Amino acid sequence: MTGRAPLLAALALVLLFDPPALGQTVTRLPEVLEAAEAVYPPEARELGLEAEVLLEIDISEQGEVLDVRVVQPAGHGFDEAAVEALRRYRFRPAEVDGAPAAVTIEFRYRFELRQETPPPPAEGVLRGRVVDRESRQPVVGALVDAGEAGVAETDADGRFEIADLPAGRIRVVVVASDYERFETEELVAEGQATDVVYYLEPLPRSPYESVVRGRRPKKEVSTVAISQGEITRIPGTHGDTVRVVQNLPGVARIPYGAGAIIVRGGEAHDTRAYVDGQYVPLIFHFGALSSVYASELIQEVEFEAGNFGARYGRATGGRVEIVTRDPGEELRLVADADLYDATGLMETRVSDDLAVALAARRSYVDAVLNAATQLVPTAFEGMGFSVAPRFWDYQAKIAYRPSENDRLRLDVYGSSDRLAMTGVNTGVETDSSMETSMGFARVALSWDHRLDDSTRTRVVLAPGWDQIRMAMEPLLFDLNVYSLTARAEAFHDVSSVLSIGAGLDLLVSEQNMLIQLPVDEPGQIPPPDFRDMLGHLETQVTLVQPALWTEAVIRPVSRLSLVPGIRVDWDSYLEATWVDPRFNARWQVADGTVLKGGVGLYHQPPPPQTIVEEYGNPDLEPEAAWQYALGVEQHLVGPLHLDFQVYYKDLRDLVVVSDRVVRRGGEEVLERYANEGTGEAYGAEILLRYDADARFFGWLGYSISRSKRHDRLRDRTTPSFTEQPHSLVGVGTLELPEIWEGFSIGARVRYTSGNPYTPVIGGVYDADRDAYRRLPAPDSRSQRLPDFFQLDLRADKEWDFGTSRLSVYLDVQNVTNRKNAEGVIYNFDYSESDYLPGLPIFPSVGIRWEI
Amino acid sequence: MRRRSAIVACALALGCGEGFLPPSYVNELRVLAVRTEPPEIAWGAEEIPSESRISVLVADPVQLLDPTREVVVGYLSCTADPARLEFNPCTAVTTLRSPGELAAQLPKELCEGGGGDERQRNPFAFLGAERCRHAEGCEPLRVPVGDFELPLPPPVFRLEDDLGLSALPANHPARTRGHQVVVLAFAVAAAPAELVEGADTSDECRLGTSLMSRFIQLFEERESVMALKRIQVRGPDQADEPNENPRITGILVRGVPLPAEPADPWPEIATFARKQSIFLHPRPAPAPLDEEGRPLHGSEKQSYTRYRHDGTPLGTEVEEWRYSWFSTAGRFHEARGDTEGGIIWAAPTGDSEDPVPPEGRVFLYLVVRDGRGGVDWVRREVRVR
Repeated sequence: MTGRAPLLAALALVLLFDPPALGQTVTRLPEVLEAAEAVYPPEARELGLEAEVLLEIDISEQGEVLDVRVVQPAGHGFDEAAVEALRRYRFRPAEVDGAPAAVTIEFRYRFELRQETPPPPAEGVLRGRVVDRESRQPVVGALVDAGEAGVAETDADGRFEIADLPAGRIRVVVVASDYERFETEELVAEGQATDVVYYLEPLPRSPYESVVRGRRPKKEVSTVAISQGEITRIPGTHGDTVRVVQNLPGVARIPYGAGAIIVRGGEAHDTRAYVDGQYVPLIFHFGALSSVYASELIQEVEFEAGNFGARYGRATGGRVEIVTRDPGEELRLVADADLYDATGLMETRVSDDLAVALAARRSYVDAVLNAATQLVPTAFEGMGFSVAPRFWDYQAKIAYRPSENDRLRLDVYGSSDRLAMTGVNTGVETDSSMETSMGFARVALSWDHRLDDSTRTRVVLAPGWDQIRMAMEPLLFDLNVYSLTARAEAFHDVSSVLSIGAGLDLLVSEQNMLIQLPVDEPGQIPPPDFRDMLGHLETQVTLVQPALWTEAVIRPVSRLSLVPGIRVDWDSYLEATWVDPRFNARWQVADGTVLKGGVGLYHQPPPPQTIVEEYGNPDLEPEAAWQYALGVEQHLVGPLHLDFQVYYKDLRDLVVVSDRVVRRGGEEVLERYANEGTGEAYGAEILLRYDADARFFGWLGYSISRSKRHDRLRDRTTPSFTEQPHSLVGVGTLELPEIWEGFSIGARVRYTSGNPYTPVIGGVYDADRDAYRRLPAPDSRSQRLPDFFQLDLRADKEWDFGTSRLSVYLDVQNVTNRKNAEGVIYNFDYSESDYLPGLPIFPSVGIRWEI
Repeated sequence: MRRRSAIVACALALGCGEGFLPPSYVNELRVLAVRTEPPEIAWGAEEIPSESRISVLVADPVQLLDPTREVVVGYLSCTADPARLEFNPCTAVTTLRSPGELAAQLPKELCEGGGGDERQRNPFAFLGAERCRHAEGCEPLRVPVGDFELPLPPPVFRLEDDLGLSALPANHPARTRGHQVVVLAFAVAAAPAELVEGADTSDECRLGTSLMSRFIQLFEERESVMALKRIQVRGPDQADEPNENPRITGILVRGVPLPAEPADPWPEIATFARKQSIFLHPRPAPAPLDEEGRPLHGSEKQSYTRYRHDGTPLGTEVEEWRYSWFSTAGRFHEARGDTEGGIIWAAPTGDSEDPVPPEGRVFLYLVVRDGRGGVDWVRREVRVR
């Protein structure tokens, strides 16, 4: 194999351990400033061997290589040669919020042989840029190989130039870490420069933390970060990044794929959703068909099933946060359409320091329903849509960098869902009208500022508006909330051992509420006509919910980080203050092995409907939970990683229905709700993940859990309403071999225990209503639905036209057409029952065009 | 609370959805309506009575196959104290799902009428019992006691005072909304003689408790139905005209009323072929007239004030009458009709899933409700060839 020279390629900048500080964002990955060529092992060269060595490199804040370790050896002398070469590398240091920081990265060093022949006469120039196809950001350090004619490496702007090329067609190969190999042919004209732009396809990224760019330092126990990218090819998610959260261990399966996210035996309202730190009231549109934020502008989705840090509060369960990205540097247009909605996106850089992005989505479920009505005329017999079901959302971004130490960003986003029907049978009227609408809007202005190398601040002001309206004459629930979210945070690295952060998390809202709903009498057969029990509440409440938090990262010894934190909340409506201490720890006991654990106290206000006057109990106190978690992360082999956690939640002061009579305001009233509930949830979660490579990514998650609630008023213990003792979810997508160029297939398989339910043991005939009233069994949730199983498949095909791409997909849910039970239905007198069937086999298609 | 489980394929029932029989199909013991005459009572009001007669529409087509089968109905009332927020045991889910618990709460002596000073400690009253035949209807029960037959009182609820409504504070919701007495009707497939087995007949009040306890015991052992009915007690600040039961007088086929009583020969208008679809209409009662022959109301449907939960008026409304149709064979295109426009009934096909009863005897029932306690009904027999 003499006559072939080594081609050393591949910069696999895989961020492993970020700088140890609070709330930081990695704004720039380390870049190679000086590359050193490894000595090709003579033995390997003689045998014609090529190889790739996976290394782990510690890089200082100055960009120096501190240490190099072999993660995946290749033998034959490759490992030693790669280590020796890497020790001579120099990097431009990584930056955290614009400042240099020490990091640990994964690095793939590739040894390839190529034919050594004398270069032909130089007559032309090939020059241009290499950019990320998705983000349009420049790809730094990419190797542009024009064969024997020459090789160039892209600079910080992604630019390259290869001079002295022979005229005629040349083959160009571009390789870069985290990107698929790119090959093309160029026609080099004699004496002229050929300008090109190469768009590199990012490698499929793991849905987990290790490959996500710019994510916060890992210091919590249960964090999972989902990056936008190939993750969108998971079947059953309609290409929606946020919906992937529903496939993670610890997340309950909700009937019909509804939008709630219920974690670790909790309730829907226990988990709070955020967009870039701002609370949002909903995260999914109708029926969870899509999330309320365009996946194309999402950098990642952070999901914590529990034990989140002190920076977040007002929830006793988990946290879901959509972290959005800055607009890209190149012009990018995307059009995406599937069975339910269409999305359009435009982003571009206006100047060196200013970039903008616009995106919008509009559903056409209304048109699909109309088509369904044409096919099945009786599908909605008697009912009509005065406003057919439709949803839309929008996002606009302006990112401005006035200096190296400042970044300003204006985000405007919102969502709206609306539906209005006529001909609704309410039981007392057969032709009533119904209207429901939900929406929100946010205008978020954020300012990130670096004071010096170790201190930075972040201020966010986000006025907003939320609306929930449900009307079915004469029933009405109308809530308009005008709010201001404010976050002011500061982070300081005291030393290499200690970093601290503190901040204000303020939510001020004016809640305008108009409620005209029946006033329930707990435990009683309701009156024949609900209109005879209507209450009326029209109120305006100004709610102030400030919170102060502080958190520290302490590194007493290498590879051990301790994160104590404390949060103090106040609620003006409840007139209550609560203090939540929290503590998390991570300890890398060996290469590839991390032990982790956490304990913390969490509080949340009671559900809104339980605390309003007339319908609830305004004297309620916040609900609380102590959360405990222990776990281990283990790198198994190659791309396989294991994450194992056990957790326990001690729930206190839960709100339960009360039929007690109490004195309030000098009058005897029904208490309706009381903090007389307790509970516990415990379980274990296993996540076996296959980190993305060029062909495959996926994961297998299993959770075993129990969740109980105890009602002290009735001395009754029941399982929580979504207690699913066993849950198994496997997802994966596979790029087919080149012969199937552009084809990929994916599968998702889910198995979960059935939800518990309270059986109805009979009915009493309400002669005033001509209807039977159900009589539930005294033991709540004493029975369980059959286990759930579903297999979903998806196939994607992509055509690459150089500067544009076209892709289509077919997504089939429940391919086995299994009739899963999602509930129980009864005949008119409750003497017979049957299971309510779930989603039948359900195909959908989508198309996407991008330039 | 045992029920016969007769599942017929869904082909019989349009709109049954998931393979269940529709509520309009009557193939076992059913209570189809309970009426109180009048539907609204008051204490000390000239134009409004203080007592109300209770009657029940029972269908038991099994009696056509088994003429020896009998159905008895017992009535129990619960009168909660309107001044207190305690719950009415006759509408409490905990007692209704386990009537044995209800029986355990009954006092030793259950006298008719109920209420009075004892109400706070004893909201219950035994109102009477009836014997019901599928084709003929119900009549007051006579129970054998030794060599005698003891006539039980017809089910009547009597208001013995104003339940304290006039003493309520001015803003109390019950002053306008009034109060509701709850009546439970226990329909049981049992013979009258079975009711007195072990009964304490020494005293009328003790007999009431014995009979009611026995009703509840049989209720849990036999085919049975429990029905709930409310009697409106007028509040002192209510000014609407007294509520009256709506009235219908028959069922029309092609404009001709079906005969109210069996006839020989059987009239052609009440005879239908298998699978025949028939348009049925309610036959309204003639408008009531005052002494001078003018319509008593602007229309048959009365106007009334609807109140919120807190007793404040929500507005004035006109009654919405709703019609419920039932049959012992065949099927209706809808179970309920919200207008007087009629309904299509298809005679049975004779298939195994839609059989023709013995002798082709099919009973049709029409119940009208005014939406605020007023009820009327008609029952008609037709024949299917």
